[in-house]
Amino acid sequence: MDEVGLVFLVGVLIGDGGEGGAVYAPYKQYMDILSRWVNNPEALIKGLSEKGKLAVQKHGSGYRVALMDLDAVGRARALLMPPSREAFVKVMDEAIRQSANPLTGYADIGSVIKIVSSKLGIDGDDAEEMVIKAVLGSKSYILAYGGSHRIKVGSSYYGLIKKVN
Amino acid sequence: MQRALVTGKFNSVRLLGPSWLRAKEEVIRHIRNGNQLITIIGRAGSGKTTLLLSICGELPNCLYTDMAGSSDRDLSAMVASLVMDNIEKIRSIQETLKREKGNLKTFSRLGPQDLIELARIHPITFLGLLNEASDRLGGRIIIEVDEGLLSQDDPRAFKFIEAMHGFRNNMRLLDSTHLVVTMLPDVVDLIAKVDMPLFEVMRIATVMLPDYVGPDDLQDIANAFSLPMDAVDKISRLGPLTMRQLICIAANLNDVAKCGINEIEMDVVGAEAA
Repeated sequence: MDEVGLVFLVGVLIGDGGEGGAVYAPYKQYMDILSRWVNNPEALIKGLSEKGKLAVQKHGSGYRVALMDLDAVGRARALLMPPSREAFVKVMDEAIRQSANPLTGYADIGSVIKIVSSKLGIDGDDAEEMVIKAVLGSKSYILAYGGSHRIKVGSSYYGLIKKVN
Repeated sequence: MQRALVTGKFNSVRLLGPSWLRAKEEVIRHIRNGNQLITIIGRAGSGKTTLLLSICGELPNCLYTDMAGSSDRDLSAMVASLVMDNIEKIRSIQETLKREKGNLKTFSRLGPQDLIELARIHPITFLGLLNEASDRLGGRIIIEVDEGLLSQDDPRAFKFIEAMHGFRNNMRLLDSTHLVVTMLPDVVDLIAKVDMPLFEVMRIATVMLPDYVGPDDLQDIANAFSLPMDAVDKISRLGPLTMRQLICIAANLNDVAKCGINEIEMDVVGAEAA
């Protein structure tokens, strides 16, 4: 994990969820922990703040760090609490339904991975790995060639996926 | 390549499985309803070719062509391939036109090479003459194009799409002609991404073949191949099978390895059943 990932991980660990999925952490405690792992936490925070990924806000008599990059917050959360197989499959099925071609019922695996990784806040590679695991452990999915992104299942590469009953 | 399967005097195709028979009825219904561009979608081994051949075995003036061996995918190549694969049928249509006048009379006198040449150089003119001939005969011309595009990655994909547009743009002129094409899911996916107008036209008359055989289909095939009950039981426990796999297993019960099925798997399934 890089320093930016750590910034969000510390925030998720000690902070509280707020409106719209942002996370708020008490400034002093946050900086104390972050400084144990990062050489120059102030500069890092400043840089991320300029990019709009977080903000240092006045809060009561002190300050707080508001972590506003929801994707990064999601990734940190997923690292601490990976989605269960059931939760993943539910999101994956919904993603397949959402991006399925209306004629064939097949969805582009590339689109499915994008939707799943964004919804669950996990990395694209992790989402791909979980899609492969879900497909291997079930007879409810049919794979076909094509698509914009190929995954390796067995000895073949597939790019389309369909959910069947 | 399925050119060897082209229906003729000496071969015929028997379509099995209620799901596939329903799909065939659906295609014929689209033709009767006047839909001129009909798409049959199915994954590899789902029975697209068998369905096409079965329809051609039933309907008069049905011309089947397999594009796999053709180097190009434009309308010229498609119509030329159609002529090459159906020269006898076209000759018999020509025979009925000998008393006609004008263009149809000229058409009736063309030899095989001239027909191929005309199809290649003026594909729409050729289709127009065939359409006119079918009007005179009081029927329809069914053109079946198989293996038009084997993959979305085929560099000739856009030529094929252009050919579809070529036909679509001349539908009024070819009002008695019905084009039935087979497509793999990835090709349909490609068309949906790059050519929404064509995709919308395709949606009007599409038949999707089942991905796997159902219990009714298995029973029908078991009856046709006179399979014993224990074999049916074993097969049904193998898991989802495509129609091609099932037909292969039914025809090679003693050598299922030919069908990509592990014999041990078949034995284990048998042992479990016992």
